[in-house]
Amino acid sequence: MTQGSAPGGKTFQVVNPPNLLKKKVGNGGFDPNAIKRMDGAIRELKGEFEEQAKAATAELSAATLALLRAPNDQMQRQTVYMIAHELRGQGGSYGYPLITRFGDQLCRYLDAAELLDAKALVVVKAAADAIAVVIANRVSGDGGETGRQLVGMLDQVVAQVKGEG
Amino acid sequence: MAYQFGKIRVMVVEDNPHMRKLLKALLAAIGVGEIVEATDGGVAWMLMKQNPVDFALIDWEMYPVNGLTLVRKIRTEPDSPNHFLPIIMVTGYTERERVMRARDVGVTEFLAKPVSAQTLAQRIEELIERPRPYVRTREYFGPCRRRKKGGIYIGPERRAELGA
Repeated sequence: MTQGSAPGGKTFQVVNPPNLLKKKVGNGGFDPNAIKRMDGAIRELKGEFEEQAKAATAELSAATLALLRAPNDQMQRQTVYMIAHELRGQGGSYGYPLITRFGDQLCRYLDAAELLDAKALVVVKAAADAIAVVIANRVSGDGGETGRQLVGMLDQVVAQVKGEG
Repeated sequence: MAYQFGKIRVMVVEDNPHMRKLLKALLAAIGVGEIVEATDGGVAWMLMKQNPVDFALIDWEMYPVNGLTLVRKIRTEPDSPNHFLPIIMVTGYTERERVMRARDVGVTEFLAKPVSAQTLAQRIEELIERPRPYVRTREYFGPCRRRKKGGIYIGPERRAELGA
């Protein structure tokens, strides 16, 4: 353990604990096949993710409609946020970066919006719909022309709402 | 010879069942000997006190005890099973303010979801090959937050502001 002092005379300690993890796993880095095995594990779970994402999209659509009916319902708002948050956290792992992109846009929009007025809800609905399209049609990767249209549509809605704000 | 993970025990703390399954599958694919799973920070704390682990993957948003609270307990509670436990926070929150908060409670590495084989392997390799020294000031105990030049730490020189 070493001690030091920072400008102003305040002290700190630095500790270098033994590297027990390295002692156990040894040297040599990752086996080149390990990454391939990990990729294989992800592929095996892809179908399960798609089923789960489909169910999550249905929940997202229902929660979004409920939010449209009651924009000040904080519970519904949190439900929409958490479903989108989980989807953005997983889509990209399985080759669906657009799920992650639209989920992220939805979460960030909700993070920034204090009150959900009618205009703001248009964005929420558009993002939820875009996610639903990606999942229903298994739009993987950048999605080609469909992907470009979805990205353009959502960006346009966000820009319009901001412009009117 | 490459890393041998067969003798280590790793904890996955994640409330989403599918995400937990994915992380476990990734660890199993590299040959981790034992994977302990927990659905929130409270369960994780209890389990790691019973059977200490070699490193942990911890989600942020969990109920009733979230990942930040768990990390804070691991670093500061007197009865912590390992104050120096290597911790990878695996989270969908990537905003700078969130990353700073995770770092300020003592997270070792930060892994943004969605995870990939490559990014998880990189973070594990960081834990093994480039362990951080630990710093204790009056208000912080955890891995040094200034290891990476040009890394995530962008802010005032708080080590100068804290301390005894």
